[in-house]
Amino acid sequence: MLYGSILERREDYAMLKAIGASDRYLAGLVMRQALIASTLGFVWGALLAGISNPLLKRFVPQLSLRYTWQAALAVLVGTVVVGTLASVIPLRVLRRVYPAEVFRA
Amino acid sequence: MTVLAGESLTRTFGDVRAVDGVSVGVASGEAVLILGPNGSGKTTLLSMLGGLLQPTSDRVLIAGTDVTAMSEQARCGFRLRTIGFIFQSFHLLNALTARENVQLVLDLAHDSDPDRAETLLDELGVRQRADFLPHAMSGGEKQRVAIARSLANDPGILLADEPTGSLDSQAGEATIRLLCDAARRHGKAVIIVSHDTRIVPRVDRVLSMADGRWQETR
Ligand SMILES: Nc1ncnc2c1ncn2[C@@H]1O[C@H](COP(=O)(O)OP(=O)(O)O)[C@@H](O)[C@H]1O
Ligand SMILES: [Mg+2]
Repeated sequence: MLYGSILERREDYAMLKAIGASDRYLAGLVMRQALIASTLGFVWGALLAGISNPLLKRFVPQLSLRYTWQAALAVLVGTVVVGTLASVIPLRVLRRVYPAEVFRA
Repeated sequence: MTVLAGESLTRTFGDVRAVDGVSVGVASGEAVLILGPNGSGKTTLLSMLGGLLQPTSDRVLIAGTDVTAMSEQARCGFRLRTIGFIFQSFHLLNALTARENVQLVLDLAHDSDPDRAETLLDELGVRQRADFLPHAMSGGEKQRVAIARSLANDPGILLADEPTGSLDSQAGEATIRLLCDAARRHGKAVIIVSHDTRIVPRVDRVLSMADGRWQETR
């Protein structure tokens, strides 16, 4: 998803490089995006679990789960770590965006 | 005084000599038009002059500094403070308001003057659009915001590639007037690249380009 979003915005990144945004600044932008996206993903997942588990308990109790805060924390940390690691791919794309592309779009 | 100088610039792409031994100097306070048909090498020349593209040979001097000899990282910081860019398709960030688009460039340069973005938008006649997103603005307004952004860090040089190319003739004329004002009133060195001959009477000097070189008939 992030990979897709950076390619979609390739010309934005080219423009930012052209007007003088450093690679460090842009990398920070990508990492922040990754962090926000994966945290949102976790929140969304937790919400779904919160809604679906009471229903499961009621109708298919064999499938219902017991959630502990330790498990939730582990999933949160896992999601954020994986999500942030995944931003390595767009970071590599970013490095190959050339500022001169800005005049080609 | 010449603030921007290209010295026998050449750029090839494979077999194509996009720019072929072109020299040019532009002084502070001067608005120059580079005129030429599509494919004549204007954009390639402008990219080299703006430190966006390395020439195959020779060099670009900005205020006496050889930008072609810098690292890409150093050149990037140099562009931020020295050059304002204006594009045919505006290149505003669609998720940001007009004010935020200008503020972004101030942030990049760690300029913390809270009124600067608003002042610039006001000077360019789009203060009432400060909190609008680009999609809610006309092309002419977007280009004014883009010019405000290009002026944010008070660069000595403005480079515009086909700035009127996406505009109707009225908005196009206003854009050229604003760019020329930047030269006359604020002492910027301005280069406008275009194939639009209507700009000719508005600028101080016209250079014609064909097949990667200056055309003799000026
Ligand atoms: N990145 C590139 N790769 C290959 N050829 C290019 C590239 N950029 C420009 N050219 C070629 O260089 C020539 C000049 O292009 P350009 O500078 O865009 O001209 P203009 O802006 O006057 O239309 C054209 O033949 C174009 O195809
Ligand atoms: Mg061009």
